[in-house]
This record gives sequence, C-alpha cells and structure tokens, in this order.
Amino acid sequence: MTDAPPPSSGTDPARVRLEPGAAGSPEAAAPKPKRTRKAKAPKEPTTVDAGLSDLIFGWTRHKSAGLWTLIFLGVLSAGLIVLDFFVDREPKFEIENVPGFYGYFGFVAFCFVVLSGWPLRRLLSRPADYYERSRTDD
Amino acid sequence: MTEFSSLLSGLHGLNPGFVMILGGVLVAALRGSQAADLARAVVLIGAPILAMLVLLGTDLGAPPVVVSLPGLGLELIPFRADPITFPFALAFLIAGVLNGIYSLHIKDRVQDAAGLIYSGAAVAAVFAGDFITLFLFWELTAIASVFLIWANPTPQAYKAGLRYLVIQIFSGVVLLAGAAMFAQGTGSLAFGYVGLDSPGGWLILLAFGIKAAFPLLHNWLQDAYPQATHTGTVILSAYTTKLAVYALLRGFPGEDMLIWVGAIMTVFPLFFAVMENDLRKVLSYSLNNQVGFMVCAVGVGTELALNGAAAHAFAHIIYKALLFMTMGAVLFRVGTTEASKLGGLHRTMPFTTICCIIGAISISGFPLFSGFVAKSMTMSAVQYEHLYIIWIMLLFASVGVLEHSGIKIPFFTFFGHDSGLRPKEAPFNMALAMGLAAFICIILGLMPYQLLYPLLPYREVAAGYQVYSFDHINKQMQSLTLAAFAFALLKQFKLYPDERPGVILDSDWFYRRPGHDIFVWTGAVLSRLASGLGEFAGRTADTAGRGLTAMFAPNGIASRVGLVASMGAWAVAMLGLVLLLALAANVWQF
Repeated sequence: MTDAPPPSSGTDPARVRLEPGAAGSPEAAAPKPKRTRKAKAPKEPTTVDAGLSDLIFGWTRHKSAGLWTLIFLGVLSAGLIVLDFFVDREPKFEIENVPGFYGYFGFVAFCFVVLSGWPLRRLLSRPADYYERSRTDD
Repeated sequence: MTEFSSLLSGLHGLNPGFVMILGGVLVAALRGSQAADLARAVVLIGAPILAMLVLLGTDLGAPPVVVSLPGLGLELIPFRADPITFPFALAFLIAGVLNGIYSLHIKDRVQDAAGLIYSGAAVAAVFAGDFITLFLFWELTAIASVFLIWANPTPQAYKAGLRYLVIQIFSGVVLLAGAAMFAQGTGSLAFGYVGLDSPGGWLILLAFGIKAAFPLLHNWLQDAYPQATHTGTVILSAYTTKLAVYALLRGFPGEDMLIWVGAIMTVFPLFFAVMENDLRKVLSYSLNNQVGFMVCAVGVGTELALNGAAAHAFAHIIYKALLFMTMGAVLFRVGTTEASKLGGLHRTMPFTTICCIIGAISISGFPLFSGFVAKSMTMSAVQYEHLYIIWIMLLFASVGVLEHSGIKIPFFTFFGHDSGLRPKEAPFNMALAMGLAAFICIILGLMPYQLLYPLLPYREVAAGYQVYSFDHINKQMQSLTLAAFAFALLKQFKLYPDERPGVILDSDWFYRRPGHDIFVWTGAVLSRLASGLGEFAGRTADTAGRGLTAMFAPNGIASRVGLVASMGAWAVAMLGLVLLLALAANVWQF
C-alpha cells in the first residue's frame, strides 16, 4: 500500500489540488521578507459555493472559534446538568436517578474512547506499506 | 396510463428484485453510443423505481408464490411478502434509486450492471421463502458486488476483492450446508424460524454472522469496502450487512447469544475508528458498530426490539449511504479520503459539508433526525428487559458513534486544519442524491409516526411507542452535548490523537501475516521434498510449476479480472450443484 492511494476509477479528472505555496493555499498567505515587485494578495475562489460557505461556515475560520465553541458547549452542558435536578425522570435503572448521569456518562465515555487511541495506536499502528513490505500477500 | 397500471398489476406477485436484476442485465448489454448511455441512465434509475411500484402494490397478506421443480422434487418459494420483508425491501429500493442518481456521471456499464444486479439480488433474497432461493441470491450478491471493488484499478483493490469474494462465497457454502442439515432434521427447506437446536442451525447462524460481520468475522468489511470506487462503496454499504440482519431477524429472533454478540459489535469498532486515518475505513467500522445495535435488538427479540432492528436498518441504510456519498464526493474531487491529507473543504464544498453534517447528526441520534427515532426503540427494549450491562454497553457505543461518525468524519474532512485544497463542489447528480438522502434523514426524524413506524413489522407496538417524551430528549441531549464538550476540550488541550497515515492491525492480520507465512513455509517444504525426487519427477514438477506460474502469477492468465470472475462464478455454480445434489440425496434418501 502506498502512502497516497492511486486514483480510483471514475475520479474527477479535473480535480483541483493546490500544492503548498500555490495561490490560495495557506502557505501562500505568509509574507515574504524580500519583494522585488508588489505581489498580489492570494485570492480565495469567488464562486457561489465559496459565498455560501462564507455565509454558513465563515465563523469557523475565526482564530478563536475553537475557544468560543468550547465555552458555548460548556455553558450548554452546565445548563442541561442543572436542569436535570428539576425534571421528572422515568428511570428504568437505579443509576438513572442520579441527576446528570447521562451527561457525566457521555463525557467520561467520550474521553475514554479518544484517549485510548494513544496507547492503542502505539500497539496496533504499522507503516502504510506493512502488508506489502518484503513479501506479497497474493 | 391505463396500460401502465395494467402492466403494474400484472407484475404484482413478482419478486421486485427480479426487476432490478433484469435491469442490470439490460445495462450490461447497452454499449457504445450516446443513446446507449442515455438508456443506461434511464434503466439505472427506472429499474429501482419500477421495482418499488411493484413492491408498493404487493399484498403483504397474500400467500407465498410456490414453484415446483418436479425433476429435482423441490418446491421453491421465490416470493414471500410479509410485514418483516417490507421495511428491508423498501429501504433497499430507496437506496437503489439514490445509488442510481449518484452514479449517473459514470459511464461504466460494468459498475452500473454490477450495482443493479447486486442490489436486485439483495432485494430478491429478502423475499426468498426457502433456503435454496436464499442461497442463490445470497451468492449472487457476493459475485455481483465484487465487481464494484475490482472497478477500482489498483492492486490493493484487486487483492481485497479476492479476499472479499472468498469470504462471501464461503458464507454461502456454509449457508447451504447448514440448510441441508436443517432440512434433514425438519423435512422442510422453508426459511422461517431456525433457532440453535440443531447443528444445521449453528451453521446457518455462522453464514449469517459472516455476512453481518460478527466480531472476528468482520474484517472483510473494513478490508474491502474502502477499496471500492467512490460510487461502489455507497452501493456496498446498503445491502450485504442489512440482508444479514434481515436473515437473523427471520431465523433467530430472541436468540440470547445475539444480545452479547451485538453488544460487543457496537463497542469494539469504536477503538479502531478512533485510530483509523482513512475516513471510508472509519465509516466501515461505524457500519460494523451500527449493525451491532440491530443484532442486539434481534437477540432481545421482543416486538419493540424487533421493530427497533427493522427501524434502525431502514434509517441506517439511508444515513450511512449519505455519509459514504459525501466521502465519495471528496474522493472524486480530491483523490483521497485520508484524514491527514484533508481539512477545510467546507470552503468550496459547502453543500457536501451540510449533507455530511446532516448524516453525522442522524447517525449520532440527535432528536428530530432519523437515528434518534430508530435507535431509541432498541435502547428502550433493552431497558424494559432489565439488561443492565448490555444497556451500559449500548450507551457507551452511542457516545462512540458521536465520536467517529458524528464528529471525526465531518470535522477532519471539512473543518480542522486547512489542507489548502480547493476542490469544486460535487457534480449535480451526486449533490442531488446527497440532498435527497439528507431530506429523508430529516423527514423520518420529524414524522416517524407517519413515515417510519407504519412500515415496521409490529405496527401497533410502534404506534404506541413514545419516542418524543421530554425525559427521552433530555437524556439524549445531555449525553451528546457533554460528549461534544469533551471533544472541544480535548482538541483545545491537544489531547485528541493526530491523524497519521498507517495501517491499523485488525483480525485480518491472522490470515495476511501468519496465515501467509504458513502457506509460504508449506510451499518451501514441499519444494525441498520435490527437489529430493529423481530427475524425471523434478522435470515434471518444473514443467508444472512453470505452467502454474504462467497461469497464477500476478500478471498471469488467471489474474485477468474477467477470467477470474467467470472462474469464480463457475466454481460457485459447480459447488452449488454438488451441494444441491447432496441436499436432495439427504432429503429424499436416495
């Protein structure tokens, strides 16, 4: 297996791939120390799709979007936990009577799954050409 | 119009899968001109629509169609329609229409024909009322679908396709052997409740388990599906495993063992999905996890649980197809679905991004989307049966679904770090198929009592189920919101593992490494033994070896796809014939 899989049948022959440094790529936006001529600023594509993207997802490109998302989700989570102290529940198991049980469970389970990725990857990850290296599997 | 109605009424009682298979044969015959391309496009979408019209006109209470084969003394039931078959068949046919639209830009009659025959075989298998008919269409799904993998012209896809074909054909052979033993005990080949009281029942369960990708029998799925073409994976995702779920629901409802098998299936793929870099492979692990919920529900076996299995299969076929479609669009435009090479694609593919998010929200089980109204039934059924450990496992798996399909897929493809890639939006036909699938995900979630629950096997139970209670929504929102908060926290503190290229070892390691080594070692030992023989024997072996090399070397005669496929088909046909004769000998004692 190669690092980059060969294009599959029917892939777009006119697909657009911008290499690092090409106009429109993030590297191209970095200022260069010396300029002999005044360079034009790189332009993002100005298509209908790009306009729609700006409108709906433009906020996600803000530098602190991650932090604001974290704060928003934190406040929402706290609100849901507090709300759970005041609602009538219909428990089938005893543990469901604990206010916020589902929230705590979701948080801990998510962290467990993600953090287990670190040791498991060390244990099970191999180079991309693992099955092809020094032997054939056909 | 009147003629069309009379034509349709004439088709009632016909297995709708036959309509699609005939469409596939027709597509295979159309070649060459622009008119042929147009006709192929019409058949690609028209065949599943016509099949759907046939299905919708079918009387679910009608007696099954019985065909006698006097020469063999067999009675086959090629068409048996009832409330269990209906939701699976309808979902398969809706997926067929979506796949047809999604594939319109491809001018490849092999893929088009394979897709139609594969989906038609799956539909036909759902309506099979006896084991022989089930076996025939079971094997046809395997043979037709492998061409969707081989249509990707890479050595990896070719090898993965071979492994896939061997495992799928083996499943069919085990099914026929199990059916023969089962028929010997019961005297009937009718496909109904099987159970595990006989060795035949265990073999049939093994056959279904291979297709459903039970734990340790699962790796054909992650091995083969991501190797198919960008349209092929979408088609593959809908049928094989859900056909197995249908077969389990028909043959093994309430089998306790399936509760644990299903629960384990929901949990173990989560850990592979978090490590995996290829996002189509992540979706394949996700598919494994989702089928686990259905298998578990079949094991619980109450009317609510069986409704849950059918509803989950129905919703899953659509939202999983949607997610694979979005990744297919990315593969088509960019050439890869490796997370480490993607990111920021929302800039130029906003519609695909929105569709992916809708698929992600649906599979995660957010209220007002299809996953919530379907999966809730299984969760409630497990609670009503007081299966505490199983309930905890399914709850854990639900959070895991949010991690790999709800967040990882859309985030690392369309957001995350900017890869600098600025591909065009998906072509119109692909966008249309994605839009329709996204619409179905939403409308099923908004109107479950009108659109989803009336399709289920036990309609009264479904109609009485309160899915949108405050308690239910509150629990789900708590779980999902705090899990999403955990993601934001882990990303902010850089604790989320980076996406890196590489291979993650799974159960296929056993046959791709030690199994391969044993094979090579055995060959070397035999070679040394042969060298100890006399000159004549040596020459004979040498000649035979050269002949075999010419035939079976990677660039040999047998490696030509068409030849391998036809040999595979003939091998299956011969094997099936031998087993049929053995079966007849067993049943009629001759």
